[in-house]
Amino acid sequence: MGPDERALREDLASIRFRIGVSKSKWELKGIVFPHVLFFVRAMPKTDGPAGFLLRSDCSGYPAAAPTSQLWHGGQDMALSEQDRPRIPQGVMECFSSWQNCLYHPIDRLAAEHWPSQHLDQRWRPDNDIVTLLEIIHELFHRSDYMGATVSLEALAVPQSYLDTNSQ
Amino acid sequence: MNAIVNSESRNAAHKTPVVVVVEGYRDNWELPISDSVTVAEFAAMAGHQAGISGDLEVQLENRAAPLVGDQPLLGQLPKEFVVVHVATKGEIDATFNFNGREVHHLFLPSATIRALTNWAVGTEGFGLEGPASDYQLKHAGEILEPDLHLGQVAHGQKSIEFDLVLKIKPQG
Repeated sequence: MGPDERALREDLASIRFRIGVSKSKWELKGIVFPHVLFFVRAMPKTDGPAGFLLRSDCSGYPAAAPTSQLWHGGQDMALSEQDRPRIPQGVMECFSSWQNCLYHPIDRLAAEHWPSQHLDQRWRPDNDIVTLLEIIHELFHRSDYMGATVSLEALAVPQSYLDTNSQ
Repeated sequence: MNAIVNSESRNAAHKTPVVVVVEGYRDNWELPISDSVTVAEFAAMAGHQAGISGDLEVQLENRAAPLVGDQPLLGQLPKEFVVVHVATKGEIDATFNFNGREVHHLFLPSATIRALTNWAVGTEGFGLEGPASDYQLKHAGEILEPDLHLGQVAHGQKSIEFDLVLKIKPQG
Protein backbone atom coordinates (compact mmCIF):
# COMPACT_ATOMS: atom_id res chain seq x y z
CA MET A 1 0.00 0.00 0.00
CA GLY A 2 1.39 3.38 -1.03
CA PRO A 3 1.59 6.43 1.22
CA ASP A 4 -1.38 8.11 -0.50
CA GLU A 5 -3.67 5.12 0.07
CA ARG A 6 -2.41 4.75 3.64
CA ALA A 7 -3.09 8.45 4.35
CA LEU A 8 -6.54 8.20 2.83
CA ARG A 9 -7.47 5.12 4.87
CA GLU A 10 -6.24 6.83 8.04
CA ASP A 11 -8.46 9.82 7.34
CA LEU A 12 -11.43 7.60 6.55
CA ALA A 13 -10.99 6.04 10.00
CA SER A 14 -10.67 9.42 11.74
CA ILE A 15 -13.16 10.77 14.25
CA ARG A 16 -13.64 13.75 11.94
CA PHE A 17 -14.86 11.49 9.13
CA ARG A 18 -17.01 9.39 11.47
CA ILE A 19 -18.72 12.50 12.85
CA GLY A 20 -20.07 13.14 9.34
CA VAL A 21 -21.25 9.54 9.16
CA SER A 22 -22.93 9.83 12.56
CA LYS A 23 -24.66 13.00 11.40
CA SER A 24 -25.85 11.12 8.29
CA LYS A 25 -24.01 13.52 6.00
CA TRP A 26 -22.03 10.87 4.11
CA GLU A 27 -21.08 7.20 4.00
CA LEU A 28 -18.08 5.35 2.66
CA LYS A 29 -19.26 2.82 0.07
CA GLY A 30 -15.93 1.30 -0.94
CA ILE A 31 -12.35 1.77 -2.02
CA VAL A 32 -10.72 0.57 -5.22
CA PHE A 33 -7.66 2.72 -4.88
CA PRO A 34 -7.02 5.32 -6.18
CA HIS A 35 -10.81 5.53 -6.38
CA VAL A 36 -13.07 5.84 -3.37
CA LEU A 37 -16.85 5.86 -3.53
CA PHE A 38 -19.05 7.87 -1.15
CA PHE A 39 -22.74 8.45 -0.69
CA VAL A 40 -23.37 12.12 0.15
CA ARG A 41 -26.80 13.06 1.46
CA ALA A 42 -28.80 15.79 -0.26
CA MET A 43 -31.52 18.14 0.94
CA PRO A 44 -34.84 16.25 0.84
CA LYS A 45 -36.86 17.21 -2.23
CA THR A 46 -40.07 15.75 -3.64
CA ASP A 47 -38.30 15.29 -6.95
CA GLY A 48 -34.94 14.34 -5.61
CA PRO A 49 -32.90 11.40 -4.36
CA ALA A 50 -31.73 10.90 -0.79
CA GLY A 51 -28.28 11.77 -2.07
CA PHE A 52 -25.71 11.02 -4.73
CA LEU A 53 -22.73 8.75 -5.19
CA LEU A 54 -19.42 10.58 -5.50
CA ARG A 55 -16.36 8.86 -6.91
CA SER A 56 -13.06 10.51 -6.03
CA ASP A 57 -9.63 9.74 -7.46
CA CYS A 58 -7.25 10.20 -4.54
CA SER A 59 -3.90 9.63 -6.28
CA GLY A 60 -1.21 11.53 -4.41
CA TYR A 61 -3.48 12.22 -1.42
CA PRO A 62 -3.27 14.42 0.57
CA ALA A 63 -0.54 16.45 -1.13
CA ALA A 64 -2.60 16.41 -4.32
CA ALA A 65 -6.29 17.26 -4.37
CA PRO A 66 -8.80 14.54 -5.16
CA THR A 67 -10.64 14.84 -8.46
CA SER A 68 -14.23 13.68 -8.39
CA GLN A 69 -17.38 12.98 -10.35
CA LEU A 70 -20.95 12.15 -9.47
CA TRP A 71 -21.32 8.46 -10.17
CA HIS A 72 -23.99 6.10 -11.48
CA GLY A 73 -23.45 3.01 -9.38
CA GLY A 74 -25.58 0.65 -11.46
CA GLN A 75 -23.70 1.48 -14.63
CA ASP A 76 -20.39 2.13 -12.84
CA MET A 77 -19.81 5.30 -14.84
CA ALA A 78 -20.19 9.04 -14.44
CA LEU A 79 -23.76 10.14 -13.77
CA SER A 80 -25.28 11.49 -16.96
CA GLU A 81 -25.80 15.24 -17.03
CA GLN A 82 -29.59 14.90 -17.14
CA ASP A 83 -29.51 13.10 -13.78
CA ARG A 84 -27.29 15.60 -11.97
CA PRO A 85 -28.42 18.09 -9.29
CA ARG A 86 -30.57 20.82 -10.76
CA ILE A 87 -31.12 24.50 -10.04
CA PRO A 88 -33.66 26.77 -11.77
CA GLN A 89 -31.13 27.57 -14.51
CA GLY A 90 -30.40 23.91 -15.26
CA VAL A 91 -27.69 21.61 -13.94
CA MET A 92 -25.90 23.02 -10.88
CA GLU A 93 -22.74 24.55 -12.34
CA CYS A 94 -20.36 22.61 -10.07
CA PHE A 95 -21.68 19.37 -11.58
CA SER A 96 -21.79 20.40 -15.24
CA SER A 97 -20.14 18.00 -17.66
CA TRP A 98 -17.46 20.39 -18.95
CA GLN A 99 -14.77 17.80 -18.10
CA ASN A 100 -14.58 14.55 -16.16
CA CYS A 101 -14.38 16.32 -12.79
CA LEU A 102 -16.20 18.78 -10.58
CA TYR A 103 -16.44 22.36 -11.81
CA HIS A 104 -15.10 23.72 -8.53
CA PRO A 105 -11.65 24.97 -7.47
CA ILE A 106 -11.36 22.23 -4.82
CA ASP A 107 -11.04 19.67 -7.63
CA ARG A 108 -7.53 18.76 -8.78
CA LEU A 109 -8.34 19.01 -12.50
CA ALA A 110 -10.65 22.01 -12.29
CA ALA A 111 -8.41 24.20 -10.13
CA GLU A 112 -6.22 25.23 -13.05
CA HIS A 113 -9.28 26.64 -14.78
CA TRP A 114 -9.08 29.64 -12.43
CA PRO A 115 -5.32 30.37 -12.24
CA SER A 116 -5.74 33.61 -10.28
CA GLN A 117 -9.24 33.27 -8.83
CA HIS A 118 -10.77 31.40 -5.92
CA LEU A 119 -7.35 30.68 -4.43
CA ASP A 120 -8.87 30.35 -0.97
CA GLN A 121 -11.19 27.61 -2.29
CA ARG A 122 -8.37 25.41 -3.56
CA TRP A 123 -7.13 22.25 -1.93
CA ARG A 124 -4.32 22.68 0.56
CA PRO A 125 -2.00 19.84 1.58
CA ASP A 126 -3.35 20.09 5.13
CA ASN A 127 -6.89 19.46 3.91
CA ASP A 128 -8.41 16.01 4.19
CA ILE A 129 -11.18 14.03 2.54
CA VAL A 130 -13.70 15.61 4.93
CA THR A 131 -12.88 19.02 3.43
CA LEU A 132 -14.11 17.76 0.06
CA LEU A 133 -17.15 15.98 1.48
CA GLU A 134 -18.23 19.07 3.45
CA ILE A 135 -18.15 21.12 0.23
CA ILE A 136 -20.17 18.55 -1.70
CA HIS A 137 -22.67 18.19 1.15
CA GLU A 138 -23.12 21.96 1.26
CA LEU A 139 -23.70 22.09 -2.51
CA PHE A 140 -26.51 19.56 -2.13
CA HIS A 141 -28.03 21.86 0.50
CA ARG A 142 -27.81 25.10 -1.45
CA SER A 143 -30.99 27.14 -1.35
CA ASP A 144 -31.49 26.86 -5.12
CA TYR A 145 -31.00 23.07 -5.25
CA MET A 146 -34.15 21.60 -6.80
CA GLY A 147 -33.46 17.87 -6.82
CA ALA A 148 -32.65 15.47 -9.64
CA THR A 149 -34.15 12.55 -11.52
CA VAL A 150 -31.84 9.87 -10.24
CA SER A 151 -33.03 6.25 -10.33
CA LEU A 152 -32.49 3.89 -7.41
CA GLU A 153 -30.18 1.92 -9.69
CA ALA A 154 -27.87 4.92 -9.81
CA LEU A 155 -27.35 4.66 -6.05
CA ALA A 156 -26.41 0.97 -6.17
CA VAL A 157 -22.84 0.23 -5.20
CA PRO A 158 -20.84 -1.36 -8.05
CA GLN A 159 -19.70 -4.91 -7.42
CA SER A 160 -16.03 -3.92 -7.62
CA TYR A 161 -16.48 -1.71 -4.54
CA LEU A 162 -18.57 -4.27 -2.68
CA ASP A 163 -15.78 -6.79 -3.18
CA THR A 164 -13.33 -4.52 -1.38
CA ASN A 165 -15.49 -3.34 1.49
CA SER A 166 -14.06 -5.87 3.88
CA GLN A 167 -10.48 -4.82 3.22
CA MET B 1 -27.16 6.76 20.67
CA ASN B 2 -25.23 9.94 21.05
CA ALA B 3 -21.73 8.63 20.96
CA ILE B 4 -19.94 6.78 18.22
CA VAL B 5 -20.18 3.39 19.78
CA ASN B 6 -18.47 0.14 19.10
CA SER B 7 -20.98 -2.13 20.79
CA GLU B 8 -18.51 -4.96 21.35
CA SER B 9 -16.00 -2.77 23.12
CA ARG B 10 -18.81 -1.15 25.08
CA ASN B 11 -20.02 -4.45 26.40
CA ALA B 12 -16.52 -5.63 27.17
CA ALA B 13 -15.27 -2.55 28.96
CA HIS B 14 -18.61 -1.07 30.08
CA LYS B 15 -17.53 2.26 28.67
CA THR B 16 -19.06 4.43 25.99
CA PRO B 17 -16.85 6.58 23.80
CA VAL B 18 -18.01 10.19 23.68
CA VAL B 19 -16.81 12.54 20.95
CA VAL B 20 -15.52 15.73 22.50
CA VAL B 21 -13.80 18.93 21.49
CA VAL B 22 -11.99 21.15 23.94
CA GLU B 23 -12.03 24.92 23.58
CA GLY B 24 -8.87 26.10 21.87
CA TYR B 25 -8.23 22.85 20.01
CA ARG B 26 -9.30 22.00 16.47
CA ASP B 27 -9.13 18.21 16.82
CA ASN B 28 -11.92 15.96 18.06
CA TRP B 29 -11.21 13.25 20.61
CA GLU B 30 -13.01 10.17 21.81
CA LEU B 31 -13.21 9.72 25.55
CA PRO B 32 -14.55 6.36 26.76
CA ILE B 33 -16.56 6.81 29.96
CA SER B 34 -18.68 4.66 32.22
CA ASP B 35 -22.34 5.37 32.90
CA SER B 36 -21.61 6.91 36.29
CA VAL B 37 -19.17 9.61 35.16
CA THR B 38 -20.63 13.01 35.98
CA VAL B 39 -20.51 16.09 33.81
CA ALA B 40 -17.94 17.69 36.13
CA GLU B 41 -15.76 14.57 36.11
CA PHE B 42 -15.94 14.41 32.33
CA ALA B 43 -14.93 18.08 32.08
CA ALA B 44 -11.91 17.39 34.28
CA MET B 45 -10.95 14.33 32.20
CA ALA B 46 -11.16 16.22 28.91
CA GLY B 47 -9.38 19.22 30.35
CA HIS B 48 -6.59 17.01 31.66
CA GLN B 49 -6.19 15.38 28.25
CA ALA B 50 -6.03 18.79 26.58
CA GLY B 51 -3.78 20.27 29.23
CA ILE B 52 -6.17 22.93 30.46
CA SER B 53 -7.58 23.44 33.92
CA GLY B 54 -9.78 25.87 35.76
CA ASP B 55 -13.53 26.21 35.94
CA LEU B 56 -14.58 24.00 33.04
CA GLU B 57 -18.10 23.28 31.85
CA VAL B 58 -19.62 20.84 29.40
CA GLN B 59 -21.83 22.11 26.61
CA LEU B 60 -23.77 20.43 23.84
CA GLU B 61 -23.64 21.71 20.31
CA ASN B 62 -25.85 24.80 19.87
CA ARG B 63 -27.55 24.47 23.24
CA ALA B 64 -28.32 27.62 25.21
CA ALA B 65 -26.91 26.45 28.54
CA PRO B 66 -24.20 24.09 29.81
CA LEU B 67 -25.03 20.71 31.35
CA VAL B 68 -25.54 20.26 35.08
CA GLY B 69 -22.23 19.29 36.67
CA ASP B 70 -23.25 16.71 39.27
CA GLN B 71 -25.40 14.58 36.95
CA PRO B 72 -24.08 11.60 34.92
CA LEU B 73 -23.08 12.80 31.47
CA LEU B 74 -24.42 9.88 29.44
CA GLY B 75 -27.89 10.35 30.94
CA GLN B 76 -27.96 13.94 29.67
CA LEU B 77 -26.98 13.26 26.09
CA PRO B 78 -29.72 13.37 23.46
CA LYS B 79 -30.62 10.40 21.27
CA GLU B 80 -29.26 11.93 18.12
CA PHE B 81 -25.51 12.27 17.71
CA VAL B 82 -23.98 15.47 19.00
CA VAL B 83 -20.42 16.55 19.69
CA VAL B 84 -19.73 17.44 23.32
CA HIS B 85 -17.75 20.60 24.03
CA VAL B 86 -15.63 21.29 27.09
CA ALA B 87 -14.76 24.95 27.66
CA THR B 88 -13.86 27.46 30.29
CA LYS B 89 -16.83 29.43 31.61
CA GLY B 90 -17.94 32.39 29.58
CA GLU B 91 -19.22 33.26 26.14
CA ILE B 92 -17.16 34.32 23.16
CA ASP B 93 -17.69 37.76 21.63
CA ALA B 94 -17.95 37.16 17.88
CA THR B 95 -17.57 40.13 15.54
CA PHE B 96 -18.80 39.81 11.95
CA ASN B 97 -17.71 42.01 9.03
CA PHE B 98 -19.70 42.31 5.80
CA ASN B 99 -19.38 44.99 3.12
CA GLY B 100 -17.89 47.53 5.53
CA ARG B 101 -20.49 46.90 8.23
CA GLU B 102 -19.85 45.23 11.58
CA VAL B 103 -22.09 43.43 14.07
CA HIS B 104 -21.25 41.32 17.08
CA HIS B 105 -22.89 38.90 19.48
CA LEU B 106 -22.01 36.60 22.38
CA PHE B 107 -22.11 32.84 21.78
CA LEU B 108 -21.21 29.81 23.85
CA PRO B 109 -18.04 28.07 22.59
CA SER B 110 -20.21 25.10 21.51
CA ALA B 111 -22.11 27.16 18.93
CA THR B 112 -21.45 25.88 15.44
CA ILE B 113 -20.21 28.01 12.57
CA ARG B 114 -23.54 27.28 10.88
CA ALA B 115 -25.43 28.76 13.85
CA LEU B 116 -23.19 31.84 13.78
CA THR B 117 -23.77 32.26 10.05
CA ASN B 118 -27.52 31.99 10.54
CA TRP B 119 -27.38 34.70 13.19
CA ALA B 120 -25.14 37.02 11.14
CA VAL B 121 -27.34 36.75 8.03
CA GLY B 122 -30.61 37.04 9.99
CA THR B 123 -32.47 40.06 11.28
CA GLU B 124 -30.44 40.30 14.50
CA GLY B 125 -27.28 40.46 12.40
CA PHE B 126 -27.01 42.13 9.00
CA GLY B 127 -30.57 41.34 7.91
CA LEU B 128 -29.47 40.12 4.50
CA GLU B 129 -31.63 38.90 1.67
CA GLY B 130 -31.48 35.25 0.77
CA PRO B 131 -30.95 32.19 2.95
CA ALA B 132 -28.03 31.81 5.31
CA SER B 133 -26.98 28.71 3.38
CA ASP B 134 -25.76 31.02 0.61
CA TYR B 135 -23.14 32.52 2.94
CA GLN B 136 -20.06 31.27 4.79
CA LEU B 137 -17.66 32.57 7.42
CA LYS B 138 -13.94 33.16 6.99
CA HIS B 139 -11.41 33.63 9.75
CA ALA B 140 -7.79 34.56 9.07
CA GLY B 141 -8.35 33.72 5.41
CA GLU B 142 -9.72 30.24 6.10
CA ILE B 143 -13.21 29.27 4.99
CA LEU B 144 -14.71 27.53 7.99
CA GLU B 145 -16.64 24.29 7.84
CA PRO B 146 -20.21 24.69 9.11
CA ASP B 147 -20.06 22.05 11.83
CA LEU B 148 -16.95 23.42 13.53
CA HIS B 149 -17.59 24.82 16.99
CA LEU B 150 -16.78 28.45 17.74
CA GLY B 151 -14.45 27.29 20.50
CA GLN B 152 -12.46 25.25 17.98
CA VAL B 153 -11.49 28.32 15.97
CA ALA B 154 -11.13 31.01 18.65
CA HIS B 155 -7.68 29.80 19.81
CA GLY B 156 -8.80 29.73 23.45
CA GLN B 157 -9.69 33.42 23.38
CA LYS B 158 -13.04 34.92 24.32
CA SER B 159 -13.26 37.14 21.25
CA ILE B 160 -12.89 36.51 17.53
CA GLU B 161 -13.52 38.28 14.24
CA PHE B 162 -15.11 36.80 11.10
CA ASP B 163 -15.73 37.90 7.55
CA LEU B 164 -19.12 36.93 6.18
CA VAL B 165 -18.89 36.12 2.47
CA LEU B 166 -21.14 34.69 -0.21
CA LYS B 167 -20.37 31.16 -1.31
CA ILE B 168 -18.82 31.04 -4.73
CA LYS B 169 -20.72 29.80 -7.73
CA PRO B 170 -17.90 29.24 -10.24
CA GLN B 171 -18.58 30.72 -13.64
CA GLY B 172 -16.84 30.18 -16.98
